[in-house]
This record gives sequence, structure tokens and C-alpha cells, in this order.
Amino acid sequence: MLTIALSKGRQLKDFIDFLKSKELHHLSDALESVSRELVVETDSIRFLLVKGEDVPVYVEEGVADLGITGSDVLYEQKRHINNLMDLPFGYCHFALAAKQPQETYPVVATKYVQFTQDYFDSIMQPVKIIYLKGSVELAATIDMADAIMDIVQTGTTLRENGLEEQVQLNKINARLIANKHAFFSKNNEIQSIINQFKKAGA
Amino acid sequence: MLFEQNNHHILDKKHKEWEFLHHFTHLGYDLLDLSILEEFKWDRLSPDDLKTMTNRYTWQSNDSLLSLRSDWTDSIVRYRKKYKLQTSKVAYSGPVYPYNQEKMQFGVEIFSESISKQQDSMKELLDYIQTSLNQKLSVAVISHYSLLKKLLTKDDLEDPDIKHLLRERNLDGLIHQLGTEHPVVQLMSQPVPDQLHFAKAKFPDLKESVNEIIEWSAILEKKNIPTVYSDLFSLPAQSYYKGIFLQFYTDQLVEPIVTGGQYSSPTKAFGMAINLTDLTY
Repeated sequence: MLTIALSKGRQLKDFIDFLKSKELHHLSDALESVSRELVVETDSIRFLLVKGEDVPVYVEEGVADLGITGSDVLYEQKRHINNLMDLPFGYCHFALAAKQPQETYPVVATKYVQFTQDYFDSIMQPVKIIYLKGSVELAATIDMADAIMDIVQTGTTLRENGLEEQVQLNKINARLIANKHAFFSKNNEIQSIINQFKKAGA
Repeated sequence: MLFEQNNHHILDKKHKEWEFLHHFTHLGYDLLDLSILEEFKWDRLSPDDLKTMTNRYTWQSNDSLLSLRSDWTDSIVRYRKKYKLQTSKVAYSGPVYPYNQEKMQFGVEIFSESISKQQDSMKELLDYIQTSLNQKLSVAVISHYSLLKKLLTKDDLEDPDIKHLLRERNLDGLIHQLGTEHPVVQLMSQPVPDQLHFAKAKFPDLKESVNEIIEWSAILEKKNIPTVYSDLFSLPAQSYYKGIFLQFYTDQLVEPIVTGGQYSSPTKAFGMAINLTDLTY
């Protein structure tokens, strides 16, 4: 039996739609019936429903053989996992957002410290990064920071807080990841899942 | 505190260490003990030394950089660069402190280019772990560090992005970086169990290394290890690892319990270590 760690919330809904598009109804039905459970079992797969940022932890530690999480989470955490394939959902992108365009953005608030540091290093500009866990837009709205670095899907949240996207950066989507040990020891089962995920939709 | 239980546990650990060293001296290995405190000179740091610094506890004392031993083979390589060891095979035991961890390593090194002697050394260590430590090895992963050198340019091999994509087996990313026709992409696109034969059939340059993997795998299959896989995209932690590299897993732990392989520094050699934590000994 394979164990797959999944992110709760929006990504879970997207994953259920994806399973339906691949006619994997036994899996989508099991996940749709979830109310508050954190473990869902079918005859061949056990799903662990966890916080998105924790998915790579469960996979790296071997508690889960596979996991589905965003490429933004993987970029930030640099875990020892196998990063197997793109999944066609969870699309968004990194963006630098501010009230108005500026020549430089010396102070940036973000949840994505590594990505922000790498971006400013790549454009050869010094930056002070303020790490925040949530409601990042507020930092730029009240002038605690010159800009924010965040993931953007539609841009509605930015606009509602008086911010505009200034620089559009890396695209983000969901990725299938595997535990390095399980990738070999359960390779047949993992390859079977990959084949089902790659199968042309109905 | 249950001192009786604790006493028994400590005595058992010390006994296992003594037993390991005793066992391998009977098999003709000389024993080696080195200081756990390692000293580096700033102006003599090699690229390999620099590479280990991010995975070590280090501190500065006057003009030296001091560190705790992080891996026995690495310590022995550096010792042999400096001093002549009048023996062809050694056994050792002692703690190592890679960053944020404490482990006990029991290991052997054989300073010979003879493949049969290297394989004998591997079999002796596997016998010990299976019979004396009662560990059931469930998976062996075998790599060959010359493979990627033949498939990638020197620049590609030094490119941190490509190295990261290889480490994560990120096929989409490698296609984006190298293109669909690149040999690495073609090889990684094959199902894992077919990759070895695909490499042998399609890339004549890889034949010798692939045959070595097949030869070592055959020995592992005879050692009652249920799953033996070849990992053709593995990157060495240190540049002196140049040939076969092996990792062995039990069902209980995610980290490999035994690791080691062929290296060349300053002469051809082979070393393997049992990595023990409190969970396993």
C-alpha cells in the first residue's frame, strides 16, 4: 500500500477534480467523503491530509511514500526528496508587489525568504527581508516594507489591499514528490500511479 | 530513572563496539583510531574540505579551523594524504558528528585496487551486520560515479541547477535545461528497472561501468537482499568517490544503515561503514 501526503484546502479540491478527469473515481470518491478526518484509506492508497508546507516533511521522513505540494513550497524548503512530475493544477506565480513602481525595493516582507533572497541576489540588489507567516500584504499597505514577495493567482487580494504586481516571477504549480527510499523500494507501485496520472483524460 | 535498564543498554553498546573490532582483527584488519577533533589549515583547504564545511560543526582557534569528525572515510582519506599507513586494510569504530546529528560508525577500508578484495571486504561487512547485529537489509541501491561524467559536460556537472535537478530526479526540469534528446533525459525517461539495460544498449561509453554495476549487484542478490536497484543519477558527496557506490536500507529507517564505495585518494581504495543511531544499537 502506498501512503500519499496531500495538502488540505484549495489544493485538495483541485486534486479531486484532477482525479475525476483521469477517471480515478475510487480515489476521488474517497477524498470527497472526507469531513474532518486526517487519514483516508482506500484498498490501495492511504492519504494523509496535512498542511501544505508539511507535505515535504512527511515525504522526506518516509511517513509518506509520495506527496503533492506546490513548487513554491519545494523551492523554499530544499528537502531531500525526488521531485517526480508536474501536475496540472495549483497554477500561480511568484510576484513582487508594491503600492507603486519604485527603482529599488530595499525592504521586502515575505513568507518566502529563500526565493526573495535568491531573486535580489540575481538582480544584484541588497535587500532587507522581513519574514511574516501570513497577511503579508499588510506590510506594504502600512509601509512597514517597500514591497512584498508573495504567490499570486488572480491578483484580487493584492488589489483589495491597494497593491500592484510590479515584477512577475517564477511560475508555480503542483508537483508529485517521492521519498528517496520508497522511490526504489516501491518503484512498481509509484510508476503505476505516475502512469495513471499521465493517462489522457476522459 | 531505571538505572538497571540503562546500565544494561550502555554495556550492550560498548560490547557491540568491542565485538566489531575484535571480529575484524580476526579477519586480518588492522585497527585504526583517530582523534575526533580535526584540524584544518585555512591556506591548505582542498575543494573537498570546503564542501564538507556546510555539514560540520566548526570553530576557529588562532590560525586553524577546528571541527568534529563528520565521516570516518573522509578522516582516513585526509590522514593517508599526510601519513603513510603500513597496512592494506583497517577497521575502525567511533562517533561522527555531521551537522545536527550524532552517529556511531563501524567501518572498514581496504587500500587495494583489486575488485575481488574490495568485494570480499563488502561481503565481510554485510555478513557482520546481518548475523552479529541481526539487521535485515531490505534494499540495496548501487550507483557508479563515472556514469554522469560520461553523459554530461564538465560545465553541466558543475552547474548547481543541473546538480539539484539530478539529485531530485526532476525529469521535467532536466528536459527544460538539457532538451528531450539529451542522453541523461533519455535514460531517466525509462522505467527504473529498465534503465541499466537501456544504458548498456544505447550508450557504448557506459558499458564498462554498467557491467561493474551488474557484477556487484549479482553479489548483493546472493546476500539475501530482496530489492537491489541501480541508481544511475547519483552524484558523489566527495570528488574522490569515482566508482561503485552502495547504500543499504532496513525497513525501520529512512536513512541508509550502510554506505560506502570505491574511491581514489591518494590510491585506489574501498570503504564501507555501518551508520548506527540509538534507534538501532
